Amino acid sequence: MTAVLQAEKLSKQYHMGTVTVDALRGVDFHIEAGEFVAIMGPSGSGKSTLLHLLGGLDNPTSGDVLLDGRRYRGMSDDQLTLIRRRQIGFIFQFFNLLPTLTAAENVALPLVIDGKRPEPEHVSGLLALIGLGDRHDHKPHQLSGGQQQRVAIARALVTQPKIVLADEPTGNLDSQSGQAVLDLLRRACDDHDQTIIMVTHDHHAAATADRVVFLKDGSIVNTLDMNKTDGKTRTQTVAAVMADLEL
Amino acid sequence: MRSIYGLAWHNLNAHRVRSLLSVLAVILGVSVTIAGSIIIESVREGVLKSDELRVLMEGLISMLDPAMLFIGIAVMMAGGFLIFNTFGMAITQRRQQIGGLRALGMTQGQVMRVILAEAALLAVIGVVLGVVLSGVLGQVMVAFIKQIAGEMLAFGDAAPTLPVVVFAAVMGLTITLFSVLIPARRAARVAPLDALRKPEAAGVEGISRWKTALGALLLTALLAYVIAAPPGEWVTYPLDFTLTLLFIGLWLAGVGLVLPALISLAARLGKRLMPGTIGRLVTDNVQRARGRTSLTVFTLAFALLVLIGLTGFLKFFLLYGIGSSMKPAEEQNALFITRVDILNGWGATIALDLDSILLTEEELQAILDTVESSAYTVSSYFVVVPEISFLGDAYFSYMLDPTLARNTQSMFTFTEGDWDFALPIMEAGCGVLVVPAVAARHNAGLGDTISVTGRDGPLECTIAGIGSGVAGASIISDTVRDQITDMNPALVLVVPYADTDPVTFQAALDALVTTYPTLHTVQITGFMVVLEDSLDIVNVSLNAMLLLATFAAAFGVVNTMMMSMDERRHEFGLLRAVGTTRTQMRNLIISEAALLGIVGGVVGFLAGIGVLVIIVMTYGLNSIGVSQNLWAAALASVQPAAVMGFVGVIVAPMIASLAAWLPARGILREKPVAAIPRLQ
Repeated sequence: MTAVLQAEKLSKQYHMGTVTVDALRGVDFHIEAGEFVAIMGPSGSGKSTLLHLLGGLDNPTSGDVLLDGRRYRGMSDDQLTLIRRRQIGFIFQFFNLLPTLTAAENVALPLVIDGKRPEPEHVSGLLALIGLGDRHDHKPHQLSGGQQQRVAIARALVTQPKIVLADEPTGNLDSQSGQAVLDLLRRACDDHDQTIIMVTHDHHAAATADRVVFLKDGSIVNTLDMNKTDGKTRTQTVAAVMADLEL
Repeated sequence: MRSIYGLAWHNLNAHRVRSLLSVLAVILGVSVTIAGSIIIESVREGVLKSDELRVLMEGLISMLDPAMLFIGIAVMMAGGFLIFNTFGMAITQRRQQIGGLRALGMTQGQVMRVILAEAALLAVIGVVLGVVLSGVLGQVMVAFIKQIAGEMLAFGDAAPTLPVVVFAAVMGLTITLFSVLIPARRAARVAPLDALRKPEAAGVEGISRWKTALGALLLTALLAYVIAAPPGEWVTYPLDFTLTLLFIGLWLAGVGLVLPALISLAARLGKRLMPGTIGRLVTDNVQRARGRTSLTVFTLAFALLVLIGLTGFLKFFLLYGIGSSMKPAEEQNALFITRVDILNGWGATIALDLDSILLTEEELQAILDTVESSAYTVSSYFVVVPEISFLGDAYFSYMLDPTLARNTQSMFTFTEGDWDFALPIMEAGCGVLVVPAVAARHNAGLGDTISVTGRDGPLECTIAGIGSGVAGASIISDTVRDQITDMNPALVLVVPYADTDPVTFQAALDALVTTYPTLHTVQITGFMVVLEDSLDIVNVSLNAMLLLATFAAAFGVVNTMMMSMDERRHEFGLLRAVGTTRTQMRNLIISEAALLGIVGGVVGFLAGIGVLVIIVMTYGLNSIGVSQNLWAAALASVQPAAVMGFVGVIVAPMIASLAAWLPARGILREKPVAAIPRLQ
């Protein structure tokens, strides 16, 4: 297995008035192709910051990110934008669907942005995959929260990106909808070799991943290989590590 | 959706009211510009019955062209402010959405192009509808002016001309796109991370002290300078126009810079006048989102400022500029004898073609026989010589016998040279007496030769004098009459000798008009009254057009209040949930808008008076050779403008309140729980 995404001594400082906050402190991290990694940690541990830097949404104070061996540092805004457009799929907590577009149009949006003409079969296939084959022409306000998040997942997958970054994808959903979203992400990883990084607060969600990386005060403090953990006790194991961190 | 530009249409469609207001602003600007030209064309068709007459009078009527054009541009600019504000607010509200698109891979250039595409779509729709509706607006305005003008003006059928339509369309597109440039750049700079942040309603924002100080300094320095050392006393063409425009621009910039502080000041005063929670909320709310609030107030103030500025400037230029050039004649009890019954209004020319206006040889002889022994006379030929026209190239000039003209002491007041210098030149060949602007245009001075258009080709004429002619017109000597015109004189200026018995003189004139009923005697004093009446009509007409700029400003208030309410839905829900009644909410919203209206009205009033003082003191009247006490002219010009401004101060809060009431109704009908956002 080769590292598709790699963080090298990644640091990020925020200046809030006269106070400097170290959100990340020299994080080294890598993810292999086809891996599903969850990032957990208490509030303010730096997990969202790490996700933003990995996705090229923000610039590190020091260190670098490599996607397929290509360094982010030195890239122009347009170059980073092209990376996000073609090689990374994003799933947001608040879905961020365009309210004026139908479900199908929202799914096809990244292709349209890339100047490509979306193939209707491809879009329909994705909608069918997420179980919304009959919601093709529905606008976001006609869909439930869980359905909207599934549309967002289809949108993230439509360009067949190297990596999908999900920021609290179940944070805004009820447990049933959340489980459906997690199942989808798991299937994308298992059936389509999709690489996924997910930031979450939810122990159960994290337990769906192959590996859970724990952050505290801007540093990686623990890593759990979920494949070596008994399926029945996965959630409890994650919860136990988190409980230790929050002490 | 096949391309990113499809998003532009989706965005416009999703915010229909906002889009509608922007389109209305473009429609107003375009239709007012075209309607203005329809009005002028209608006057042309009504007054000018023959091609010869058209050539002769074109200059007078074309004086209205720049005024109408200015109004069209002013209305479009007010629309531009609205569009700028609308897009600025929309970008703020769509920040999360734009951030999402950036995160999905949309480049800064693509974001900018989508926003510009939205503006272009609005502009095209606005331009098309503006062109279509301009005909109706033009006819409505003509009907309105007919009502107030009575017999003073005549109107014919007119349709918009292609160049005006093209100009209005290009202006509508350009101003719209230009207005959206800054918001589009802001949109392009939205970070992808904004997709992850929850949008928040704006809080009470501080004021930039240095901007306020800079604005105050600019306003004070500008006013102090034009008062202490009025540039109008020395500035000449073309610097007069440029300097005035520059000072107006600086004045507007100064007003814009101090406006947030003025809004804060009004809020503080308002807090004292409106105690209690509602008063506190009202005064706090007008200090939120300062950028858009200030621009909304500025649009209101701008509309009022243009009303005051234009009313005052017309008064100043036409009465103190053109009018004062008639003072020498007025002081000598001069009159003119003509076939046009001008005292009954310009409309009297309707039935006349050029031959009916020009004096016959018999009439001319009869006039001279009647008054020759008791008055100086000079027969005046009206000619159009583009090179010596003081406004554009179609304003008329007089062709006169220079000796007779000198005798009247009424036709020209010299600022450079005198009759002793001028007479030999004008008697020997083609000599011209021109206003300073004409001399400056040719970069020529006293005694220099300029080439003018004659009937048979170019004609060399010497500048025999520089100064002010009656009605701003230049004078050309009649020694070259055959080379300039083959028409008869249109009037005879009559200046009674000092020792002429007025009763006998009047009796002789009465006898003349009895014998020749086609002739009319027009006292200069009476003509001045007609001129003032005409000015009033022009003013009312222009102000009616400018009211449309106020509409554009009102749309701006609707838009700002709508955006503000949309953003504050959660707050409104909370206020309702904790027991605020609908009446209290309505009072809150209307008070906010009224407060903005009051500030807009007062600032517009004061800034309008200021801009008028700047125009008078900077532009002066040197370009037409008139020397005036600029302070007296400024004060006199301010008076009618101040009345207009005072009306604006009263009306602006009413317009603003009404504009706020419309979007408020929808929100106030909602149940409190509906206004509290549910988790998505």
